[in-house]
Amino acid sequence: MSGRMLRYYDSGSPIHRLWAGTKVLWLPAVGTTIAFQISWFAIGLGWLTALVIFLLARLPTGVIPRPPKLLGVAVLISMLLASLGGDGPTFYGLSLDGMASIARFMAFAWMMVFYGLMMGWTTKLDEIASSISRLFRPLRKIGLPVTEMAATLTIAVRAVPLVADELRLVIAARRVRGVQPRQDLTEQGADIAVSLVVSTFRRSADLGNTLAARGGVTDPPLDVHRLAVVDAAAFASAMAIMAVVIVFG
Amino acid sequence: MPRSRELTATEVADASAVAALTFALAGIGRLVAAGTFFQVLSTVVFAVLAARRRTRVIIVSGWAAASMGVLLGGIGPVGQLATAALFGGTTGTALRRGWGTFRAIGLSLLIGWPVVAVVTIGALSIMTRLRELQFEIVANLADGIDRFSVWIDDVVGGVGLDSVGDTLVRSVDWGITYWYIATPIAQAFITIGYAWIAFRIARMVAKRVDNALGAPSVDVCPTGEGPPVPLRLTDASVRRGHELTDVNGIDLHVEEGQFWTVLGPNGAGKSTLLHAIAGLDDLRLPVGASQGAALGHPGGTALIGQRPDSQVLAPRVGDDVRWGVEGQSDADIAEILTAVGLAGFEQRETSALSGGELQRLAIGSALARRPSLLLSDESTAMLDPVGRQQVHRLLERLADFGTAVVHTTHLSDELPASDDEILRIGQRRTTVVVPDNNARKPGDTVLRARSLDIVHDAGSPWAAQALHDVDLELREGELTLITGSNGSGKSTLAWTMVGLLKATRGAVELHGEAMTGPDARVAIAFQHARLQVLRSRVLDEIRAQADVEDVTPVLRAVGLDQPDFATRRIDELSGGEQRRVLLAGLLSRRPDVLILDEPLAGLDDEGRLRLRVAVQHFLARRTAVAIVTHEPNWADDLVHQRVHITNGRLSVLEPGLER
Repeated sequence: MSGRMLRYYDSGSPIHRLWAGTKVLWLPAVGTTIAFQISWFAIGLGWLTALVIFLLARLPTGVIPRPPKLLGVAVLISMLLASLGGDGPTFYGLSLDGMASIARFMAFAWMMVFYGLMMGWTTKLDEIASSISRLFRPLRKIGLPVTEMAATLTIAVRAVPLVADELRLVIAARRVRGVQPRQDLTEQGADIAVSLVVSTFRRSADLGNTLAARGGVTDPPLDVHRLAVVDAAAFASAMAIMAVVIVFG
Repeated sequence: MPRSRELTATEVADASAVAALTFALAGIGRLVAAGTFFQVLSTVVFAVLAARRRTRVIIVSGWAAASMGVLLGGIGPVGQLATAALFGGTTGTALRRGWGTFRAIGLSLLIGWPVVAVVTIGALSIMTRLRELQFEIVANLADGIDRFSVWIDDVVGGVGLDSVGDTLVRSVDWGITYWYIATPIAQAFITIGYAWIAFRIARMVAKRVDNALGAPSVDVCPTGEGPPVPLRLTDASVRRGHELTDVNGIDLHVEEGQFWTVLGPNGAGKSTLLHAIAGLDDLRLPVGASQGAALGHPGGTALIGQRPDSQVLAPRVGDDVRWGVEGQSDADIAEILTAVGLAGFEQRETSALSGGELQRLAIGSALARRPSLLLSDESTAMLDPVGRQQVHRLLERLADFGTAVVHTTHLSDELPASDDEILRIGQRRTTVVVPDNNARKPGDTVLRARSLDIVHDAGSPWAAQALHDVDLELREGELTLITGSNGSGKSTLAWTMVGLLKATRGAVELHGEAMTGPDARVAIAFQHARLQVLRSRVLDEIRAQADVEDVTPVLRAVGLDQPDFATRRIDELSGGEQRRVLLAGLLSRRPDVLILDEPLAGLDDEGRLRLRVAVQHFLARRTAVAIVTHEPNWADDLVHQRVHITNGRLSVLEPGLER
């Protein structure tokens, strides 16, 4: 019922053993560099790397979700329109240049989505949260309220499955209603929002009591993961990919 | 109340829950490719938070949501969540100050728009190639639309569409040449539209949320250093701030290591009493009742509440025990977990624990502080019989740790053998209308599950078979009780029977025809009624289920017969009352099949009686009723069929009583 997004698949691979913080730093660094060049070469290298990581992580192909149908229709329409315009050689009145540029952009966008999915299959959400808290910890020196930030993030991670369940129920409840609502979209949005927000705040009142009963806002248990050889290799690979992308375009 | 700069416990909890909700919304938006709708929804959620809390809470909440956004695929979702927090923050601030639409949009333009514009221009100036590619695509799109409009104009014959396309191409060309001017201008217009919609919805939502929840709760009031035991209350009253509450005349003398049971129905003030002892929600006991609660401090007071999944804070079991207590070794953690019957659970994820396990973990985390007093606020109410017994036994054993316990309950079977340590509070009237039509002629089959298999996530490595070859018939005017433990598949069966899940093999037939999706003739009432009741007033809610003039008969049938009840606000009602309003709506809808998912959870004796009567009304109207529950002995005399599910396999315990 919970789908294939954000779902951990444990194969015990080196990718799984990476510190979550390594992945959190790796992805934006490499992604931004590829976006900077956004050439077919850079995007191709990005996809190739994604494939290598996918194989290294020993993930079965069944983990990949089927894209929503609406997405396919939207992609087709925008491809068609974008290639109706544009210059260069044409194919049945469709510009190949126009098609190539939108294809290049989509290849990049989907690559980022795929990296995000891989992050979810190989990393537990709570490890990401604690590693981000750890990355922010040194900023205590410049006066950032690191304790309350870390506590908020940790409890938020804990609350995700709870609110996701409630979200699922609200959607199901709308589907099984007898009479279809005759209000406009704003009012429907407001109805959904009220149900969700009220139950979320009731939940947070409980969680707040629990936190108070633990002596108030304190640092959550710290991330004690030690950096290993795999992390060094990951950082080296990021450097190499970024260098190649910048030099060779 | 003076405010310190740091966030308090309730503020952190609000920030966390909102971050979790917006993150989940962003995830769903990505999944169904309806990003805009969910983006606005997230903004509204942040706005309600900003209307109720100070700006610092929004910033921390937005940061947490955006941090989790990394997992949804990098910069995009992070940016969306940050934007939602930004505009939610400005919209909510306008709400908090009671501003009108113009000033609210103005604030978004003044604070939100510059941030977005500066970030966008900065990114576009650095990422030149990405900018050129995007602009090329936009130009091509405009060009394509232009050519398409010319073509249409040719076909239809001179309606002037060609000039529209032409204007579009020229304005896009201008925008791309002067992008550093055009982009901020476009964003200003988008900001106005976005802020307007968000403010319109958020104003409606915030008002209804305030009605439902009242003012945001305040934090622990200073109650002294402790120890909390002995606690001596003689004819005592509880105050909220300086106001008296309904809880008074309390006689409670708690000595070291004692186990006290406070018995009373829902709404009798048990939680108020315990929160006053703990010093929560600005509730106070008379001065000198004890030397102070010292809530959460070593040797002080600990508190366990009703909803199991809200009593645990960390995603991992071991971390939850470790939270906030310095200097615990792994051995200490293991010892505590063993004491509460969770040996070897250190690395387990808390989201995978059952209700009983969660409550025992909560007790363990409390024990890490060696409390002198543990307050258990209905901590057994939502558990199945096995979990309930285990938690109750554990609470009774806490005296061995030198901890006194005050346990509240509405279940008289949890009373200890001796009479000494029992406090009874609250009494309520019980009048019911039982339908007279109890004739039991054998019913025809209405709904039938035929060789049903359900596999969750089929085709993925997480594929799990939830139901194996299930056959079940629900008959007109008959009650079926479906029992089973947590994760046995009973909820999956309920969801499948109402058409919310598709059968992998086999089928669900309604009047002999296979169901393909939800059907108005088959209704379900979930345990958590607030999520299902969508309108703000009782009357509107019932009329949204079925077009009826007079709602008094159905309200009377579910025991909500006070005058003017129909005009009351849903959010003023208790959870049990909301559940019964839902049933009243369903009663007027007259479904052929009704499925009740865990309707007994958290209900006291009166609530159970009222539910029983409501079920009788459904049966009298020839509705086939199925109740999913973990209480096998409820309403024995009404039940026609009893089935039990273990690991997705269904066995019939007693087929057709009196048939």
